[in-house]
Amino acid sequence: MKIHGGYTPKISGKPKSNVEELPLPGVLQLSLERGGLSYKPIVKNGQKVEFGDSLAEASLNGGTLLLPSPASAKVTLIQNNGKKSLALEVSDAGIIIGKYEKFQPQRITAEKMRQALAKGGIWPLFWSSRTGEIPALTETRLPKAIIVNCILTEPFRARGKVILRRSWNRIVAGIRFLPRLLVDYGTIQIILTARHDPVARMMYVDLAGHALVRFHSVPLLYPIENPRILSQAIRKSDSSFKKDDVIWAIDVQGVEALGACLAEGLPLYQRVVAAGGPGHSSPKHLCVRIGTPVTALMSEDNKPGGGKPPESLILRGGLIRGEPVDSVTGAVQYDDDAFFFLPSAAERQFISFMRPGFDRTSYLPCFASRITGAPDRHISTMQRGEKRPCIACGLCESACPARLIPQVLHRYLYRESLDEAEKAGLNLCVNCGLCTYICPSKIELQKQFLEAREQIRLEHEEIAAAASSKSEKNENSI
Amino acid sequence: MKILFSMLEKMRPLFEKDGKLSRLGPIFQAADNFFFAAPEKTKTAPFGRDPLDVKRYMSLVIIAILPSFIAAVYFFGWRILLTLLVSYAAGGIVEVLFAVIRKEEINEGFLVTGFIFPLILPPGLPLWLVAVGVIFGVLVGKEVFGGTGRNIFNPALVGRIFLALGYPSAMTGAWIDPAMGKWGQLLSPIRLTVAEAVTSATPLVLAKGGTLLPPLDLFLGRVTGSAGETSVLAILLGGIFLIIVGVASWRTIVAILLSFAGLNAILHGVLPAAVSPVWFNLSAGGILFGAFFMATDPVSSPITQSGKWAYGILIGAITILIRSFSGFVEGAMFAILLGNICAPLIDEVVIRTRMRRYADER
Ligand code: SF4
Ligand code: SF4
Repeated sequence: MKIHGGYTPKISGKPKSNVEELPLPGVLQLSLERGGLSYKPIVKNGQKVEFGDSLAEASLNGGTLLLPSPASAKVTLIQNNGKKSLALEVSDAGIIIGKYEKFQPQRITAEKMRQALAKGGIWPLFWSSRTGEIPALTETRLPKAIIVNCILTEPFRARGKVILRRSWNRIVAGIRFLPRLLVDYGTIQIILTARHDPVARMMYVDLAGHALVRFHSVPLLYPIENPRILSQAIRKSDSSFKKDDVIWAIDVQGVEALGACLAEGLPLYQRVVAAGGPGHSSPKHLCVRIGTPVTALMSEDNKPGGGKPPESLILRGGLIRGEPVDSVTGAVQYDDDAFFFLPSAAERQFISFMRPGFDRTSYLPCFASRITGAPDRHISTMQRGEKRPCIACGLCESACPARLIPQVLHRYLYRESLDEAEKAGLNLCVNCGLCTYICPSKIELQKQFLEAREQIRLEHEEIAAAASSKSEKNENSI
Repeated sequence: MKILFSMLEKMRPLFEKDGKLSRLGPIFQAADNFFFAAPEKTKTAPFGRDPLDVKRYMSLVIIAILPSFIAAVYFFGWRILLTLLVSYAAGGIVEVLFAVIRKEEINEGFLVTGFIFPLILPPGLPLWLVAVGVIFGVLVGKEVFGGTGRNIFNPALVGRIFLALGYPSAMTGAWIDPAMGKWGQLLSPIRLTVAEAVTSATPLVLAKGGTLLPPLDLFLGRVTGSAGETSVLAILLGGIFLIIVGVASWRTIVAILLSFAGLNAILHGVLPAAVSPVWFNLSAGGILFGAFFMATDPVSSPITQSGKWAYGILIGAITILIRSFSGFVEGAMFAILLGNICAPLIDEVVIRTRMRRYADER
């Protein structure tokens, strides 16, 4: 499995690998808009719900996905700037094992399994190569392979090993269920760091006899966790895959939840999240109930008024792809696994370009930290340089995991020739953001690509609409 | 430091949009950002960024050329420092002028051009010619294309070739004999003008007549030649540094040197009388300096990684062909310029090939 490009910056504030259980907060916040889905509440304001009851539903290509309640609570509907969410006033902290029907991997039918996963809130954790998003519930073209990814390289997503160690049994149980979703003779592809590492061996032993399971080891380079990169690599490594064979992917936390849902009858109710980054004073993994506010993830001296480290921007997700969340109203949602604390105030360093750079790490080996091995302690929301025209340094090309040449795309888009950009592979960009991260000219390449794709999509839609209205006209005239 | 910071802060309003000196904003900004890291914050993901910026990128190149500069001063005297100052001043004025007219920032790329330029000139060149050359180079080699990043040619090279074609006698009359003593020229006073008496022939000219200079002199740089190009030792020091920090493309360098040496070996084998041996050709003249510091200029070389191989091979081969079979004794400059011309073409071919693969992948 050779994978091109990639880079994982070395940053301080790496979360420790033990997992701390956080006590259940009094109020949980559930957002009704996540992962491109928009949920409609099916509970009334003030209604009391039990752990696992369905709170909201979203339709997805004909099927219905449900949002289960992570706790027994009283519900309040909230509308804030057009964004809908639910506040749950927790009345009972207990979880109810067997809330849903329990199954055996050998007995369950594919249909039953899909329904159970849709009800338990787990379905949206799947990704399909056919849509590039969540697979349709009623999908008839079954996947030839399901990738179970145990590696998250972006600083600092919850590490696969931490989760494997914590929830071994549930994960193994989950993997045993997965073949039900495959076509006949499909395979489960498990992605690990190295085959000889103890975790891999343990898995090997526990899953021995499952002819459908394959193991792969991959380098620890961001964005290896990207399902498109992984599925491309799987396709290349095995010639029996045809071009249009469907591949699904799910990460290890998803499989854990799946195992808990089907074997123990539990909804998706908790997540292990990594709270880290230079802005966090005690970076660690935390196991939290879904809906826990992000303030609970901060350590004492991080909290407003707590003093110590400078104020931080809290990113939902990792350093590279993460988007800011409001530190007051933000909460952990069902698909979160990381919150990155990025210091927001930073001094303007004196003649920074001439300093050796013991506290900074770069893609190019031109800072002293490369010799000492020190992580970057200086990273903040500063852009760290001025915007300049592209100097053609070629760093973006060497890092791009999709084997694109971002600077060429940038040139085409600068001249507004969308066509050329499309031909030069614009649609193959996996939006990893690495090119923007490392560009010394501080060009926002990924954003530009995203906008250009959106524009192309709109143009195609317009053309399609024009064509259909034309044919309608023709029909009318006939 | 604090005083400087507060001073800049006090001056800032003057240069801002409605300030009295807003037209000179680029100058203030350049000074401000020279001393203190840029204040901008990120507005889109990734919200944290890599610390490498163009300033550091360019200063690494300058650090790499520093050994050659020191060697130049050692062998040819403090006059080199003077030519550097003239080069920076004259070229800087053009750069700043264009930045102010265009209302753009001042680009750091100029610092490299201005540093390289005096090093590829004969050390005894009159100062006014240095100024003329650098102005022409920056103006025609860069600004008419729209500034740093949009130029096709290496600006320093454009200036140098302009001088070679426009003032041939001044150029050939300006070679200086290198200093021989322990202290080199370090202790001698600056000579503003250079008497014709000290001019002498470069190793490549001598080689045409059948005399090969000793390897040690060539290696250290104790020979006549363009100020920064004579010392193999200094160039290797800086060049290897550039490769280690990842700024120069090792592909370009390896391709140039391999094709140059390979073709040289073949030609020397066939025509030993007309073509000098490989060790000599590699260490004499501008090929090494060109390969490490000029051909690797990212803007004017191909942007694709595989294109760099083709580009390097082209430059290496053409250099040795010009040296061996034309009236010119040195071919590196012309070869690199030719490479610059071909670079977009090479890129086009590479990109088209890639496009076909992308179409498959979809
Ligand atoms: S990293 Fe930035 S400056 Fe370098 S080639 Fe890519 S776009 Fe240009
Ligand atoms: S072009 Fe796309 S895939 Fe390549 S590095 Fe940039 S964001 Fe990632």
